Amino acid sequence: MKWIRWQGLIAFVILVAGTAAFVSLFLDGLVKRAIEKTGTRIVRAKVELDDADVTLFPLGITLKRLQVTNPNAPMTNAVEVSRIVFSMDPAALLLHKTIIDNMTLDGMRFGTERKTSGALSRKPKEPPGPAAGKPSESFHLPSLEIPNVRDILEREPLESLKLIETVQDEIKTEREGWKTRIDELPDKKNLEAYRGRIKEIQKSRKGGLEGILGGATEAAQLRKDLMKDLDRIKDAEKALKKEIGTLQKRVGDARRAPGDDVRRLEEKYSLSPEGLSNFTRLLLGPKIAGWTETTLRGYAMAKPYLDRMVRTAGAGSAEVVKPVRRKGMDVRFKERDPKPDFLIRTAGVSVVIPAGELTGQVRNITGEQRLVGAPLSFEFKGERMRDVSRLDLKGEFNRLHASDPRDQFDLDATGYRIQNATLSDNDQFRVTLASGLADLNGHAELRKDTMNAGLSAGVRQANLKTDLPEKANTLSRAMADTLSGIKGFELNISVSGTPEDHDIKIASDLDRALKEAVGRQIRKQAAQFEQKLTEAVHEKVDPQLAQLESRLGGFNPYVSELNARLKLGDELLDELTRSGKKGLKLPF
Amino acid sequence: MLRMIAKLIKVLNSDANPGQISAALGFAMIAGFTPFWSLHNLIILLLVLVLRVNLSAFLLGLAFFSGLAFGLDPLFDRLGLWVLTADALNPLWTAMYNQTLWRLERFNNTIVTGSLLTSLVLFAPLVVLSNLLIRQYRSRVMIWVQRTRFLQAIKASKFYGYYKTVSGWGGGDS
Repeated sequence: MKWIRWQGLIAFVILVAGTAAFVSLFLDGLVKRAIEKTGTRIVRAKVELDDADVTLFPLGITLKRLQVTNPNAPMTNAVEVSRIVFSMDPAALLLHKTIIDNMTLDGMRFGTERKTSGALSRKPKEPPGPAAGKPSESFHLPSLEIPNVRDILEREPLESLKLIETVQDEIKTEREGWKTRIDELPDKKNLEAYRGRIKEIQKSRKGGLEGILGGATEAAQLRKDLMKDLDRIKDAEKALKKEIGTLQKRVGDARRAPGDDVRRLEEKYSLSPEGLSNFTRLLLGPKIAGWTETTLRGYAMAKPYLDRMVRTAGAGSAEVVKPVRRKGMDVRFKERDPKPDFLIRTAGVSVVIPAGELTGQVRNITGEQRLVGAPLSFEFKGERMRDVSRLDLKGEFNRLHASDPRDQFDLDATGYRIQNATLSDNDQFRVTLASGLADLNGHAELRKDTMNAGLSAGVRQANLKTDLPEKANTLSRAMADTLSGIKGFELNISVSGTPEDHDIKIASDLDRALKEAVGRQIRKQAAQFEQKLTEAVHEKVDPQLAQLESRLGGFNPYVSELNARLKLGDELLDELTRSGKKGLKLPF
Repeated sequence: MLRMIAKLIKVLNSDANPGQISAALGFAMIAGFTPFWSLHNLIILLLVLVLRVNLSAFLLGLAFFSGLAFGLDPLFDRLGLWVLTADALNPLWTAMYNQTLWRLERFNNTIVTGSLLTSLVLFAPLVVLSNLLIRQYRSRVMIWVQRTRFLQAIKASKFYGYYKTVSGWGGGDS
């Protein structure tokens, strides 16, 4: 039996050649479908191509009108490119490596409209993005209307009234205490008793030597007793005066308390211009926070693809990659001349943006930057554009060191013509930059998870317009007037923190202008408010204060009483002294 | 399915050399176990066409072993991973990895290597065993089967109609 059939060789050649012919005949369609299918899977929204043209000698591809749907807005393309042309290294392709030395992307546009929806029939999974973070702040301008002082006094308890009440209680307690104490002191009746004893001594002197000697002893005792009583009364009088002094001081405090109340309430309900020290943040903060969030969301969508750039293929021994179910895994071994699986060395790009056309280059687009030894970088320039005199945009995505990923962007624009840019879309205070020319300078850097970004904008020939509701308050109107007169301003924005939790700082010379203009209004209104508040507080407190002062006068009878007793005591002492001089000379 | 069984019986009952049938089954196992679009399958195709092996048996075997491969893929995957990551073989794999031909073969894929090694190891035993079984079938079972009431009943059924239909098919080279 013969084991060879030569006609089988002919069949083999026909079969292989037929397959090759079939593939080359339909290669354009196969490439088109492969790009659409792969792109759609990655973006999670339709990726469409009008046409793909593959040439085998030299090996290259031309793609016409690539549309990548924005997964969050299916009627809009995130990116649309009119034409993409590139050639590939066939030797590298045999090693399953796509190496493109030069690629040209013409007419790249962002956010173009689609005729049909680019949404997938199945709901795509939510792409990773920065955490919701802090909600965008809204703001309310403080009202410049004078608050109703009656309403305020109904709501706010007055500290002065509380103090008056306390002092009243103290006076009452002290008065009661002093009444008891004075009652316990020798009174007029007790003192009058000394007068009787003096008369008896005077009588005893007339009874001879014995009587004189006995009277002298008694007189000495009487003087001693009288002095003791008088000392008690004097001590009490001194203490009473001291107490009255203390209470007068307390009443003085109560008298000053309404002033403190007025200051406190004024501060609380006040219209101080200090509250508007960072007006720009108040006004532009929500909008800038929104822009920041949008930028970071875009970056978060790109980050997973950027992070794949840290792969370090061929660095050591066998490395297992791409675990795919039913397709097995590819094991990578050390290569003699390691090259990345995918590399576009230079891509010349022309981008059409609303301001005009930007041209530039993107270099080293690869998933294995370490093998190329350089980061992915881009540089775009725009000159004599319709809306910008000059624009430079450059940056890089550096994944050369897996432990230290760094991304940075620089923007420099001169004479950027701004028209109808909404700066604040707050219902109460809508601000639009109707026209203006801006010079922008910005830098952003993301290192690991730490972000630092800054943007300086100098706006000239500004025409700021405000849109106020009919019932806008005085402050809003004052600010609107000020803004309409501003012809130029500087704006500095800085963002720091992590993409999930960042702090936005906004500063502008608009603050100073607005503070000056609005401050005058505020000070005028504040003076009126202070006067009204003072009147209302005093109206409420003064009767209580008068009552307090009258209660303090209640101590006067006590003082008089003690003085009267002391006077009587002094008279008795005089009488005792005189009676001694008339008779025998007393031994005292 | 009926067509396939009928075809198998026809092949077994034909005058084809048992060696041609068993070799066809061996090649079918390699092509069926390994991913179809592999470089080595081009060689298998060339061998199947140039060597006088039974094409019907090859196509039947290809369908059978391809179906079987779905269930065996995890096993091939593990075997391939074990072999490709064996330290002792690393110099060999590294040398092959740096050659275009082997990269086209995609030998560094766990399923390609696992299934190719399995089928190569099983090739010779399968050919010998199937050859033996075909010979035994023809000398003993075929005559007995044709006498059974079961086959008599089949001959009277629709199934036999299929058999008759395919009996007129090509395979004259077999």
